[in-house]
Amino acid sequence: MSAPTHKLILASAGTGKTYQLTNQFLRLLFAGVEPERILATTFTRKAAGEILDRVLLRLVEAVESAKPREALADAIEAPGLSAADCRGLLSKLVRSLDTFQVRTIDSFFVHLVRLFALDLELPPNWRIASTRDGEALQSEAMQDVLSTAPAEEAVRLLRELDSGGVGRGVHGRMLEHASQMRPVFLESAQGAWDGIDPGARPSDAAVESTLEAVAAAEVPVTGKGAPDSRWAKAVTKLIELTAEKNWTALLGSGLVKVFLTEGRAYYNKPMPASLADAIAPIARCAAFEFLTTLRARNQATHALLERFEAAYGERKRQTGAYGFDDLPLALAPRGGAESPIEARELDLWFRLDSQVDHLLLDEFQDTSPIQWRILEKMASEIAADGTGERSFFCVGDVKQSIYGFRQAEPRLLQELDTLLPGLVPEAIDKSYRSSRIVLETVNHVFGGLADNPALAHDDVDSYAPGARRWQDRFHPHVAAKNLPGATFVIEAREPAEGESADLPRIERAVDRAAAIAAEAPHATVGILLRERKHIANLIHRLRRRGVDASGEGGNELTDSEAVLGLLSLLHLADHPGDSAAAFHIATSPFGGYVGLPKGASDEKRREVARGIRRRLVTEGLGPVCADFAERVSADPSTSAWDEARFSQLVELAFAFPFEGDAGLRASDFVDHVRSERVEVPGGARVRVMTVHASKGLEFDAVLLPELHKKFVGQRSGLLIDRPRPDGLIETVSISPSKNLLIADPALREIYDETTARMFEDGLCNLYVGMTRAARRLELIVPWEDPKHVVKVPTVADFVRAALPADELRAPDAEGVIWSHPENAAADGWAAGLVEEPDRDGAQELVVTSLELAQSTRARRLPRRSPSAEEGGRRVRAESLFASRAGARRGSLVHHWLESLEWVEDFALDDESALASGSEIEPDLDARRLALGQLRESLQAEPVKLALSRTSCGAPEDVALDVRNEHAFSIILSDESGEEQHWTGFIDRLVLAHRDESVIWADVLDYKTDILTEDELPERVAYYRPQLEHYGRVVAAQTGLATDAIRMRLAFLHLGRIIDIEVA
Amino acid sequence: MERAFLGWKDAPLERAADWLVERFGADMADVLVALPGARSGRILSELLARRSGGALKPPRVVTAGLASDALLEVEGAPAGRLVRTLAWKEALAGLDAATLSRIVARPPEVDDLAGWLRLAEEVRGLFGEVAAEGMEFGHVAANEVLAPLEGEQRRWAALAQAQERMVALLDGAGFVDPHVGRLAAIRAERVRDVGAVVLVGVSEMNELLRRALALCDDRVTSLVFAPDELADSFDAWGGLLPEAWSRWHTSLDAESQWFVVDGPADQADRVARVIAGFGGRYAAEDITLGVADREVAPYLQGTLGALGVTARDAAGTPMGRTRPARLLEAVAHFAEGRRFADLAALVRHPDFEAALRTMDEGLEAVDWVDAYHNTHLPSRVDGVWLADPDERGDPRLAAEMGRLWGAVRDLLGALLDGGDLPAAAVTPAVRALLQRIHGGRELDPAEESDRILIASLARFGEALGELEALPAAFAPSGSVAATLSLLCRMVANDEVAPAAARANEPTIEMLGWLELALDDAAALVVTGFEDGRVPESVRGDSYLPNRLRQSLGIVDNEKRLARDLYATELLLQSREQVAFVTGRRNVAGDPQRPSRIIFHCDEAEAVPRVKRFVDAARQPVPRLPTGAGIAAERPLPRLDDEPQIEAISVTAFSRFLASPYQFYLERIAGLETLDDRARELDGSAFGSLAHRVLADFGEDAQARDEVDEDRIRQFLLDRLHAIAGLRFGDRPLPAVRLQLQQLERRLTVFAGVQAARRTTGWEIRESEWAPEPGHVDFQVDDVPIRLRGRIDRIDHHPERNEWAIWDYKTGENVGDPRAAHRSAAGEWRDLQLPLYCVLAEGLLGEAEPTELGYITLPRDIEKLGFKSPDRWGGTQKDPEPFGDALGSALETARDVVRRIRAGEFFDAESFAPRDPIFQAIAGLGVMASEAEVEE
Ligand code: SF4
Repeated sequence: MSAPTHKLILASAGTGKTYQLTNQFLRLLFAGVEPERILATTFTRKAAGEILDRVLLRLVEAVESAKPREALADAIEAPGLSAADCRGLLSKLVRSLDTFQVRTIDSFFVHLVRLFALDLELPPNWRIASTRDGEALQSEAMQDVLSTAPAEEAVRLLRELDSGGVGRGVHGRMLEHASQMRPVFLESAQGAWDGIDPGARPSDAAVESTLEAVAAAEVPVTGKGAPDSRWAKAVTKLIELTAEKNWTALLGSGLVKVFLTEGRAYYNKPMPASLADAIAPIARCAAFEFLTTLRARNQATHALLERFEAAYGERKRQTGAYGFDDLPLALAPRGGAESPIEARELDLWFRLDSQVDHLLLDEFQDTSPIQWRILEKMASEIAADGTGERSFFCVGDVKQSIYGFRQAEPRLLQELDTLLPGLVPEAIDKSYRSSRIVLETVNHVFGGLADNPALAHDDVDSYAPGARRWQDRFHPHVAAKNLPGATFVIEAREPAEGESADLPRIERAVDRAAAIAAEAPHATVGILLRERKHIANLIHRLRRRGVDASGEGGNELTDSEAVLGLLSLLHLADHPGDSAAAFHIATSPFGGYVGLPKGASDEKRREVARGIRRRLVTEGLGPVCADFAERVSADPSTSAWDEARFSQLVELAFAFPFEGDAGLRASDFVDHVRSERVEVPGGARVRVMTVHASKGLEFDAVLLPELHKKFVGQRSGLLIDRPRPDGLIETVSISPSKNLLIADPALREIYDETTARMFEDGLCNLYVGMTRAARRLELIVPWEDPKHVVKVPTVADFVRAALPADELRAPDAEGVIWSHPENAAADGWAAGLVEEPDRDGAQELVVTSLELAQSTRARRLPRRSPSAEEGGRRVRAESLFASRAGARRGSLVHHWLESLEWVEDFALDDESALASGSEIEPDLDARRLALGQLRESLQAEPVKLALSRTSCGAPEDVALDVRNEHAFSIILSDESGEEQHWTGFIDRLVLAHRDESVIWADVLDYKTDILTEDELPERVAYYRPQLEHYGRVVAAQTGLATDAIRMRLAFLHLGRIIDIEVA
Repeated sequence: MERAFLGWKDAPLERAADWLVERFGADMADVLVALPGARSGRILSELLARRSGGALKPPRVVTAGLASDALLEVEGAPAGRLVRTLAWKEALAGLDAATLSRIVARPPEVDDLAGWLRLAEEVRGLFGEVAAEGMEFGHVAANEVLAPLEGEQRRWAALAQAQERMVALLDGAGFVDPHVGRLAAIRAERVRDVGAVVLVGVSEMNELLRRALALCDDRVTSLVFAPDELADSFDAWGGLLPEAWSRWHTSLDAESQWFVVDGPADQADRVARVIAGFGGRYAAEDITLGVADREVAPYLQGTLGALGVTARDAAGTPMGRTRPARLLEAVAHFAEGRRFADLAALVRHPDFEAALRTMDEGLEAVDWVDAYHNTHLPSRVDGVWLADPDERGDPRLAAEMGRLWGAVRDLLGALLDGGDLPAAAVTPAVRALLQRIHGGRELDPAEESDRILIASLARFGEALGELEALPAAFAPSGSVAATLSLLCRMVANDEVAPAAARANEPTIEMLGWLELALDDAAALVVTGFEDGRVPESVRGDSYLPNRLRQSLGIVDNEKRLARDLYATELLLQSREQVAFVTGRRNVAGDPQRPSRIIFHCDEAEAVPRVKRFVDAARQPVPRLPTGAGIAAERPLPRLDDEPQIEAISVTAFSRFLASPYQFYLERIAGLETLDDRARELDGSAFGSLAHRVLADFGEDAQARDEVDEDRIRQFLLDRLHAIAGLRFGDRPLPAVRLQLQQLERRLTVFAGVQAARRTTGWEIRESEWAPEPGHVDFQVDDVPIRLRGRIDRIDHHPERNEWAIWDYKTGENVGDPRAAHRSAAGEWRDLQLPLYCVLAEGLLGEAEPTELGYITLPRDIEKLGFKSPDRWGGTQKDPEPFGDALGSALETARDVVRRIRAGEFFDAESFAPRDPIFQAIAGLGVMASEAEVEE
């Protein structure tokens, strides 16, 4: 077996990244590396689970049969691998499963932060907050900003954001803005927002004086020798605009623009030098004014972000609620030269309990710069190792980098061989997923990328560098498996007058998906979109067509009417004035469940709401929902679907943590349900999702219906320059309109580069979408308006142009304009797809009975204690939270009386008594007082008599056994014969023995209540049940008849002894 | 020291009870029995009572954790948890900055009581763990493992310094730390007088207990649940030898006793199947569910509950979920910042609300708080309640809020006082609050909700007592909110025990993993049998990583594994039925691995087990039948008795034209939705404010005639500030403040436009004008309908005797009135302006208005101005005459009225509301996600 070496693998879609990664994992394990020395990271929990599964699965297969064993031996270059080797390794591995570190990068960071929380600047109560809580916190932080920022500053900023408009919305808009720009803010270097230099501005006088020169300067002449009137007009316009000081207009059009453009040509004639000289100061001035404004906007934005970050940070500190994106920042604070862990001379490996020698990084193109900065030290240390003791392994595909909006930086992968010198990239392009037909289509589309005619227009020349880079990375894909396949390009119909342009494409997608589902009912189908916007709509339409469809991760539970009913009920509980919710409840079965008919009075509505609020707080959200679930399933009108969805709702309810509002706002849960997606049991075969969500998935058939979009869509509103992929952002600016960029070549360059990257992103999106298909691929393009001239191409334009022109045809009835010449006929593409067994087993979905034997008894006897029987078991609420001083005094007195056998012998010296009571009553004065009172009580004649040996009048032959704090534990049956386990203590029990038998018993219970004579009867009645139970216990223990047991209450404060007669 | 091996073939505690009775008879008054948990103690005492009848003198039963206290004579008053936490807090806060910074990089702010307490709790817990093994922080600092780790060493040294301070502080207040006290007692060999000590199944014990036992060695017996043959696998105290047990192969039969499923719901489902598989051999009370993963518990409750069996959670109700805890938490939030939102939460607390209603009968707190929020967008509560005399505002609102506030103040009393107070000054106020809320009530412990209330009130009563009893040196002082939070934290980790199972309700007990070993049910199903839970495994630790633990001899991963292998074997041996369930995924969706215990078997046997785990991921899952979720179309709901429509407002037509059903719900059924989440003015509140200002302007005889831009602006802004002051007070929500500035800007531009218009001779004739008596009769098929409406503004040009009718529009992007009214194909979408003409007939007579349109005040102020279309139909070259257009508009209006009269509302196709509740009425929930953005 070869020693592990460092590897960088560029694996195209479907080529088995996970396979490569597991190979490396297994290679290491077979080489005897302890699992705890390997750290593998990826981006999704699903992928993390899959990696470990695959490692185990391949070992199991290798144990069980020869073929996979040989394949494994090949893959890890371990010839002669035996089944016993594999079995040995497997059994060793599974006994140390706990040491495997296959995690998402987020969870790895959470782990680190947890280990070093107090060493980082996090508060001791930090936790990972839910998205919902995080959003609420941001909203509050924005309120803080708005209330502390000077109003003028805020208003100015607001108008900057609105480009001069005066919008109504403030809080929402600013918040959206701030949270969008925050990631850039956090990654930008000192001064990055201040990077624009407007230069010097010529004085107004200088500009005015140059106007004469402009007017006087010669303009090009026509063929006939006359001054070109178009030039003349432009000169006039220039003079006019300059006089008005309309710098924006000057910069964006006319001769200043010409002046600033390379070549300085206007209507094909170059600008005469004298004119150019004259214009120069005006151009300078226009540029200055524009750049000054732009800088001011940048500074204003930066100021807002700074305020926002401070306020948000403060909120987070107060609540301890942090997001995943805060953790990398805590580990590697911006601008900090060394991490806090190093600065504090702490040892990562020590606290991690493992030394990582082997690093395996999956999906590396999705790594963000800050993530890399945290991993980098580990990575470069390991990659620098040449002994074979340590290894670095990384796999990714720049072509699949579609997470730019989440700060992923694909250039890290692209340039990893320079960041970690010595790595040699290795490319893999053989797909184990897709059919040859699909791959050839992919090759068509991406193969001739740089020469695609759709990219030929001037307006998109900034795409060119991106196209070139992409082309360089793309190698024709080949199929490893021999799958049947089919690909189609399909045109949507022409939109009707006044109809949304989206509709024909959506309809087409629904038609096609329905046809595929009918043709191949066992095929999985993915409808992959660019945005979430139409997902619900598509699912809705598919379902109306009778096709089971769901989104990735399922749909919101609001696809069930029963769930909707409960949500309205919870909403009503929170807002009893909501008449719409009440109407909805009344017209749903819930109206019957809670007794809210249509047209119920306001009072009725409030009563129902109050009832639900009370139940929620008393019983808890989960149990209340579970209770309604019973109503729902018992209701004959409930469908199987509603029942299943409602039970999923109950699960959400049980798991829902009320974090804010002390759990008093039912709407919090309503919001949660509305935003949470829950998979239907078994899922649906037709899935609608964004391309982003489809990453890592594959489908038998894929439909791409949103190719009508431009490659470069919505810009983020910021121009960003990050010179090094692992470095900080060094220039940021609000993106001005493109034609004004002419004022600053550096900005223009950033703009163009941004455009090229966005184009690359668009290509990646298309690539990922297409390569999800195993067998069948359908590209749905919009109707092509013959009058329309393509300047900035849509993805569809690009796809059309990439196909062999001679194979394109007019749309047929289904809209097909191209199909792969070797498409499998009819449903041949689905040949071999079999129905998975046991799928439609609806009857085995539920257990209908537990089949228990008849219950005969409770598991444990009820445990009872006489002292809890006071007052007939009812409890006065105030006695529960009244001051404890009285109870402590009572305990003290009981404690002291424990040592009293007979009052005649009782000697309690102050010092030891006061000392021994300190555990019960820490306050010395209170102890003194209590002791004094006790002594006083013992002076009272009745008390003295009750505790006196002499006065109890027992004859000589009777032996008296005094038991203080007499403990008992006894099983008694009540009137109905039910057994109970009674435990407790009797303050004082005196048993009189004659010969071997007990002849009478005397129970005395000390009461320390402070009370008056008048209150006595009521108190006696209150304590009576307790004493009666003592009587039962003593009777059972001694066998005495009730009349031989005397029961008394000693009211020490009054100095009274009360006999309790048994009724 | 004696060991007794009781075997492991049947219920362990039965065996133990037999042994005790045999050894001691009925008199166990002098016996101390220690068991691993409180629950096993209760079982044992019941078994003893059963065996000995009335003669039993019960032994003293304690948990192993408290056994050393029962054995040792500790000098001084042991400090309780709160006192210790506060002592640690003082000790830490008193360290010099450099030393403290070695423990925590950024210490809490001086006044951040909660922050300090958390830190103190963390350190207190850590100290407990170290001290239980007979060590102090100084020992850790000196451990050889830390020798090369300077930062770690420094930290432990700093902790040792804090410990020294903590001990001194306690001492000064007359307390002793219980750990320190126990150590001292052991050193001085101060043992209490006990007759005999019996350890029952205590298979692991800390160093402190070992040393305490060693002091009374001759009186100790350890009962071990294992056969004699395994004597070598236990130490002299009957504790497990980790080396022996961590390599144990269990007798698990994976095929029949181990199940791998996917998520938590599947675990619950599998449990149901396993139980059903017992085939009626057991009653509910003979079955126990092991819950190694707490997250699965609710699923078990749900699934079994649906099958008519109660799953009784031994963990009980967390104190934080009880009514008093939520009340105090809500009060704390409100007291902290007096935020209106916190008041809104507080009044929703059922006990608080009930108390409000008792104090002030008929007070509908929630309704008024909602209404007040939506009218005035308050941020904080300062006791001043705004009253806007606008006819739209409810005149009762301010008065009702005043009532409400009075009641809230009466209830909260001193808790509303600001400033820092010592804790002892807050507790009486808390008692007073509880008294006002619950005082005078008789609670019935047989009622479940009362039972929980009793337990939680009692716990709070105790906690209040603890706070009051704090020695002055430690008594914290802070805001009322901070003290309330402290109070809540004090009880946070406690639970209210579940109600006893009833004989007539089949109940299955749910127990945590650690309690299973000594449980006595014949059948057992263990859920959450996953790595990290069984055994609990710690990879990495912020204080005591495994390597350090090993070196110090503190419980480490090997010991945990040994313990759980033994426990698993004991379960397998002593129960009639045992099954283990492993989930591949937790609630959050994270992948989980099976417990390693599964793989403690022969090498050959491990392979099929791994296979079962891996295969489970690839098992097809049962699914709902195709099409199950596709609901049949159902008719749109309607009222039982629909009122006759005799009047209609001119603005309602567009509603009907867009969606008849929407019109029906809003205008006929009168439905509206309500929430209180606005944090700034929405479009309608913003518009209503602007309309008020502009209406006042139009009604002011002097102002409306003004030609001077500045004076117009001044008038408008004065009105704006006056009205906003009434509506939002002088300290509005921050966003509102800015929104007002935005509106100012729009009004300023409007002032210029208006001045210019006035100079052209146009006069404002009417503002907010409505015909007498508020409507005109509009004839439709010879039956009149009352057409209602109020025209924003009517202008007259006296010189030309021309009229203009205007509607103010303040939406963000309002543009062309014609486009708003008619589609490109000429269909009417809105009839407001044409119907204005009908309304205005009384004023204009036969005259056609020269101008009819919008005065727009949009976001883009360049587009602000008077917008009257040059034509209402036709083409540029061939415009439709105004009269014709009006005619077709009125025909459309008549048609709408006819359809309304005919009840043609129930069109599902056009009903696409944005509000989720309106969607729900039509069963349209699935559309709710429409608005979501790119992920
Ligand atoms: S996308 Fe799927 S098949 Fe492709 S490498 Fe990743 S895990 Fe493997």
